[in-house]
Order: sequence, then structure tokens, then C-alpha cells
Amino acid sequence: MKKTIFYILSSLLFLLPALMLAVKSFTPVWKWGEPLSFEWTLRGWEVFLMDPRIYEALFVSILIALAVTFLNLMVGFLTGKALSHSVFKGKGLLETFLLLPLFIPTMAAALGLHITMIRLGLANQWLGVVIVHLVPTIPYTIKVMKAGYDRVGSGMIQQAKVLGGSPFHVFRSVELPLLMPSVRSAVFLTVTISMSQYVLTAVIGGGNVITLPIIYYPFLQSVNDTVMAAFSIAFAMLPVIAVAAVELLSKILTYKGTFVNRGVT
Amino acid sequence: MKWHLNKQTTLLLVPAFLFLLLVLYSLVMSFVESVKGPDGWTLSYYQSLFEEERLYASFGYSLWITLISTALSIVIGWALVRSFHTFIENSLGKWILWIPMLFPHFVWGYFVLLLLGQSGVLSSVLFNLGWLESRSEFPVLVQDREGAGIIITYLWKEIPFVVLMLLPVYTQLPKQYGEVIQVLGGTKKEYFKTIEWPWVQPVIVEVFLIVTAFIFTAYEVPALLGVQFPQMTAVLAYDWFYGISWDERSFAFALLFMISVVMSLFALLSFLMLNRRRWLISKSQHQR
Amino acid sequence: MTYFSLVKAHKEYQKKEIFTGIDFSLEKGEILSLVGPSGTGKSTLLRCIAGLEQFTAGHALLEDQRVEHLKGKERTVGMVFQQPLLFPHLTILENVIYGLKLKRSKREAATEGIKYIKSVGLEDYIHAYPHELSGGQQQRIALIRALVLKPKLLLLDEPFSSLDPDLRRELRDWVRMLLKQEKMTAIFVTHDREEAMLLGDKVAVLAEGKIQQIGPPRQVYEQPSNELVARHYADVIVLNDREYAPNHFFVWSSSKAAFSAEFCVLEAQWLNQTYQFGESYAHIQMTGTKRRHIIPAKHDLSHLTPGKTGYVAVNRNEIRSFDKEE
Repeated sequence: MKKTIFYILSSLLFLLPALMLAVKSFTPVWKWGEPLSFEWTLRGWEVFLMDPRIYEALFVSILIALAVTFLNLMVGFLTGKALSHSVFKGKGLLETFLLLPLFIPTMAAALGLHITMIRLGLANQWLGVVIVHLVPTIPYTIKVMKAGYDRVGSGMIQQAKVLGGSPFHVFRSVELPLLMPSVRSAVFLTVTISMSQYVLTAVIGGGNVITLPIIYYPFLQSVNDTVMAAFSIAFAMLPVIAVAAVELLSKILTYKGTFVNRGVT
Repeated sequence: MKWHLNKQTTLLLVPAFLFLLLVLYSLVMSFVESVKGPDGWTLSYYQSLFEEERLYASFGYSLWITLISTALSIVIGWALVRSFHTFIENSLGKWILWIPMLFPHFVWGYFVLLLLGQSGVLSSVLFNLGWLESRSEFPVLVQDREGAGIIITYLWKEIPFVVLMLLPVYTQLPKQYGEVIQVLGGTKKEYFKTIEWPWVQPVIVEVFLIVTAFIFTAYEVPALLGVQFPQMTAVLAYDWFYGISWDERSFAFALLFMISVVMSLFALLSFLMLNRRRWLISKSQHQR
Repeated sequence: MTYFSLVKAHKEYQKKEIFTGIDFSLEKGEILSLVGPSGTGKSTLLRCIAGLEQFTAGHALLEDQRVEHLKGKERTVGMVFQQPLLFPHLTILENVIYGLKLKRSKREAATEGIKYIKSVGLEDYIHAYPHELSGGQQQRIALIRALVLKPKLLLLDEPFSSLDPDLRRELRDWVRMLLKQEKMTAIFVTHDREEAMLLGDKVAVLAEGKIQQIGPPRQVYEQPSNELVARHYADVIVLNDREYAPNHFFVWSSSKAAFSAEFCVLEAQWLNQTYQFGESYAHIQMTGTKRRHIIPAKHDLSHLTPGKTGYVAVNRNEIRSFDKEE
């Protein structure tokens, strides 16, 4: 009973909107007062995919998201491990401080960094945008990775070290596989947040760094709902693709300790 | 137990410290920009900022939208978790909750505009059904003075966020204590007071702070679904930053710096108050 | 006069029978030890009496009243769990008076709580938090948290199983003293035979879903009523489903010829030899049943190799029959 209520409620509120956008991206423009048309059309996606600016924006967005994700994971793995597996004075306080960036306006960070970025020649550059995207993402990643290390515990990692693994080998064969659920969440969050930044990118990118939101945002009032719906769906697909890519990458990076691989017969 | 940072831990923490330095630096720079006048350091921008009518209008409007959105998100999200947590974890339901998380806020704002705008899909459907005579009969839900469209968008996005943040707490609640309370003569009320609330409260406070800070200072949704006046703080700051006069630029910095200080102090205090209990709870010896 | 009794208690879980037809009664102030192999539903039985789970059929009576449905302040049954389960964010005093505070004023509760904490010698920890106490101290607090409510019946579900052996030994004597001092009627679940003997005025052996035997510790030990009781509670070697003989009458020999016709001889493997209380014991494994037993060994047999086949024998006069009347 409860289950049914939950599924009806959540489907109606969360699944349906996504489906509606998906359907909308394949149907002609709905004019007000006319019956909704459900004729199949690829126009929206054609417009979206034919625009050369979109390709460039897609490339830039992915480049930025990738760099942000990479830096996030690096900080996340190291900090998460330190916060979870070592004891030192002021750990609680440090943890709190690392969360604080979530409570300050990201715009304050963006505007504050703006002048420095100009001086360093990073304004209007994708790298500058990457740096400012770290502010709203890293606190989440650290939180997620710390929780991951808490869950895994230090025993398994120490065991691997005792058995004589080099740090990189231990990372590949033990830490990475065990922490994959956390990595997935962190990548997903980072990519979604990075894809959601309009104002940070606009301020630091100064109209020079064209990402998807920079193109999409000014057109939000547009009447062509078919193209906008296609665009909207594209936004939702990127984090999914990112997680899939990470999955693939981790498969390659993970040391597989099977007998076949070790050549033992 | 080692009480001082050893070499290895310090090395692990270097990137985290660099990150904190970056954020701190940006705040310091915001402050510097807010007190830098044409003739040297001055606090006069803060003084004139508080004489701006736009500021008060913006604060009132932002506060109203923020508090109502945050409070409702938490109340509804919490209620959902409490009634449904037993089967959301490890089920299809969890994936449905992730769907709104996939879309950026402004995309969801666009969806609200598309669906609930006066010329939106719902109004069009109602017209076709003969329930409306014209589009002006449809209530102004989007780009309205009360910020209904903004609130709807935020609720829609933040409720799943609240649910996903609270879900792990509920699946890890130490249920054995429920039995202890039962044999000591306690009821469900005592279970809530002694176990559920102390375990959940830190996360609720954290979620409250995150959502409040985000909504109060986010730009994208109110810029899309808001009105010309009043404006939410981020929109005002943006306008001022790209405004014509030097004064306005300094106002933008002063405004954002003030919010940063207030919010971080607020967050810091809340965490410090909760940290001791968090620590005690982490010593719990129930079997997981 | 019967103070507490279980009547035809029966429990099924997902159509699987856990226990059935459990009947026994206790006098006021009596302590019953419930022993048996793990996984036989000892804990479930206790949880049903405490009202944490429901009997499928049957019921529990305390002073002629049904107890397992009593809720909140009406409860008369207390329980102590395997783990102390002290509330980590409450002080020791707050933990102890948790239940009392629901019934009486906070001040009264605190006075009573402090009295109890002092009586177990932990007055230095009144305002400490549970993690500052050792495991044994925590379990003591858990016990007085239940006792301070003066329950009419106290259930203890293997309360020492999370403690190390030395602490266990120390704590169980103390618990018996405390329970007797409070004239508490109690049911104590354990899988440890020695613990059952030490704590219980009576011992009940629960195996295969039924109470196999109930009686004073010595009686059950010396006259097991069937093979299950013999195996789990007594030191005897079961010869067949009717007969057994106490371990201490058995003798080991490497050759069969050493025994006269008066003896019943069984083949066994030599395992090892240990020494306890000035005596020496042989550890052997019966070839027939594969069960391990410990029997007296007068001589030094350490030259034997483990696994060597030999014989154990008992004088036929010492063979006893299970009490088949039951």
C-alpha cells in the first residue's frame, strides 16, 4: 500500500517531468490554445545537433567538467583518507571548515577571484572556470569520499600494505574497487554541479568560454519549446555519460587479481 | 593515538588546505574590493549600502522565498523519508528520486515555465478542455511578485535532495535501541526523543544550512523566474557588479561579503554546537 | 505458589517452527538458567516473554496476569541484552534513570539512580558518558538500568557474551549476588554450561524447539533425561539411545585385550592430554559417533601420537539408563 503510494507519487512528480521533456523534444512546437500535437519530429534534435556552436560548447563543457572531476577526485581521495583514517587534533574543526564553502555565496567566490584571474591571465580562460567550479563541488566530494573511507575501514588497506603492495598497487587493487560507489556519487555530483553553473562561468569566462549553460540560458524564454526540450534532455544525459565513462575507466585502471592475469597455471 | 599531524597525514591534506586557501582568498578579495574607494580605504560603501531601498526589498523578498522553500522542502522531504525509507533504499524508487538531481536548476526552472506559465502547457490544456476562457484566467504562477514560480522550482529540486541526504541516516538508525526503550517502559515518543531526533538532527541542520545558503544566494532561477523588482540577492549583486558606477560595483562586493560572513558564522556556530553530540553518537556500540 | 509460568508457548517464524509446547513455572525469587545449543530459539523465547515478539500461540502469566502485552509504564518485565546498549549521548546517571524518569519525578529518579550506581561501585562515573567505561562496567550499568525499575521478572539474554573470559567470571558471581539481594525472579539465557550452573537455581535445557529437561543444576547434570540433555549439559558418553555412562568411569587403553568381559569397550582415537586441578585428562574422539570427549587418564600418555586408534571402556555396572518415564 505504502509502496504503491510512493511509486505513484514519485513517478508523477519526478519521472513524469523528465518524460514530458523527452516527449516534447520529439514533438512540434506547442502553440498556446491549440491541441497538443504528438506528431513525431526530429527537428528539435536537428537544430540542437546542427549548430556548430553547440559542438564547441559541448566540447568546452566536457573539458571543464572532466578537469573539475579529476581535481575533485584527487582532493577527495587524499582528504577523505586523511579525515577518515588518521587521528589528529582539530580534525572535527577542519571537517567543518571544509564544508563551509557550501554556505557562502558562490558568487562571492567568483567575484572575489575575478580580478586575480584577470591579473594571472586566467579570466576568459577555461582553466579559470575550472578553478571557480571547484568551490561548489569539492566540499561534496570530500564528504562523499570520507564517508566511503569510513565505510571501508583501514583494516583492508593495511592488510594489503602488510602483504607488500606499493602504495599505487594498493590503491589500484584495494582502495579504488572498494571505493567505487563513492567515486560514482562524487563524479555524478561534480558533473551535475559543474553543468549547472551559469553565473560562475559567465563571470569568470567573461563570454569567452562558451559552455552549454551559456548558450542555453539566454534562450530560456524562447518559444521553440521543441529545441529547448532537446537541449534540456542533453543536460541530463551528460552526468549519466560521465558516470558510465568513469565506470569504464575504473575497469581499465583496476588491478584484476585473477590467476589468468598473473599467468599462473 | 597520535594527536599531532604526522608527515603523511599532512601530505594528504595539502590539497584540502590549498582549496581552503582559495576560498579564503576569494573572500578576502571581496572584502578588499568592498572597502577600496577612489581615494583609499573606506567603509562608506557599507554605510550607503544600508541606505539603498533595493537592498531591503531584496532581503525581505529573498528571505521569504528562502525560508518558505527551505522549510517546506525539509518538512516534506523528511515526512517522505520517515514514511517510505524502509523500501526506498536499494530499489527503483531511489533512482526515480535521482531524476530531478540530473537536471540543472535553470533547466528545471525552464520546465516550470513551460508547464505552469500563463502561456504554458497546463494553461493551454485547460483552455482546450474549455475550463478557461483566456490565458489571463490562469493564475500568475511564474514571474510573479510573490516568487511562486521560484518557490515551486526550488521545492521540486530540493525535496529529492533532502530525501537523499536523510535516507542513509534512516537506514542506519540503531533500531536495537528501540527495543531497549521498549523494555524500559518507553513508547514511540521516547524513541523519537532519545534516538531518532538526536541521530537525525545534525543532518537536518546541515541540509537546512546548505539549502538556505544556496537558495538565498543563487542567481539562475530567480533571474529566470523572478520579476524586475524586488530582486533576490544574487540578481541584485549581479546587476550591481555589471552596473555603470563604481559605487554599485562596490555594493555588489559588500553585499556578498556580508552574506558570506553571516552565513559562515551561522554555519560554524551550528556545527560547533552539534559536534559534541555527533562525536558521542559516533561512539555508539550497537551492532550495525 | 506459582509466580510466573509459561503456558503452551509456541512460536513460528515464516512457517518454520522455532519452539513448541513450552511449559514451565517459577517461584518468586527463583532464577532459571536456560541453556542449549545456539540457534534453538532461546533468545526468541525471551523476546516473546518481553513482548518484543509475539507468541504464535500460548502465553506467559505473572501473578496470574498476562504480561507479554503490557506496554509502557504498565510493564513488569525487564530485560538485559547481549550488548550493554547504553545510550551513547546520555550520561551514566541519565542512562540508569531512563525508565524511572518516565514514571517518577526527575529528582526522585536521580536519588534512586545514584543509590544503585553507588551500590555497584561506579559512583565515580555518574556524570561520565558510556564510552568512558569498560565493557564490563557498561554491562553493570545496563543491569542496574533494568533493576532500578524493580521489574517483577528480569530477563537476561546472554549478558556476558560480549565480554572477555576473565571479566565474565567476575561479573557472573556479582550478578547472582545482586539478583539474590534484590530477590529478583529471573530467566537467564546462556549457551555456557558452567554459567548456567553458577547462576541458576534451576536449569532448563532447550533443544530442538522443546524443553528437554528442567530441574536443579546437579540433578540435570547427573541424571540427564535423554541424549540431547546428555550431550549439551552432562559429562557422559552416550552408548545408545537408552544408555549412557559418566565420563569419569571410562578408561583408555591402546589394546582391547586389556579389558575383561565386565567392561563395555568402544573404539576411539587418541587426540591429546591436558591437566586441570591436579588431574590429568585424555581427549579422545569416538570412532562410532565422531564426538569428542574428555576422560580421566591416570598415566602419562604423551608419547601417543594424535589420531592413534585405541579403546575406551567402562564397567557395565556404571552404565545407566535415560529416564524413559518422561
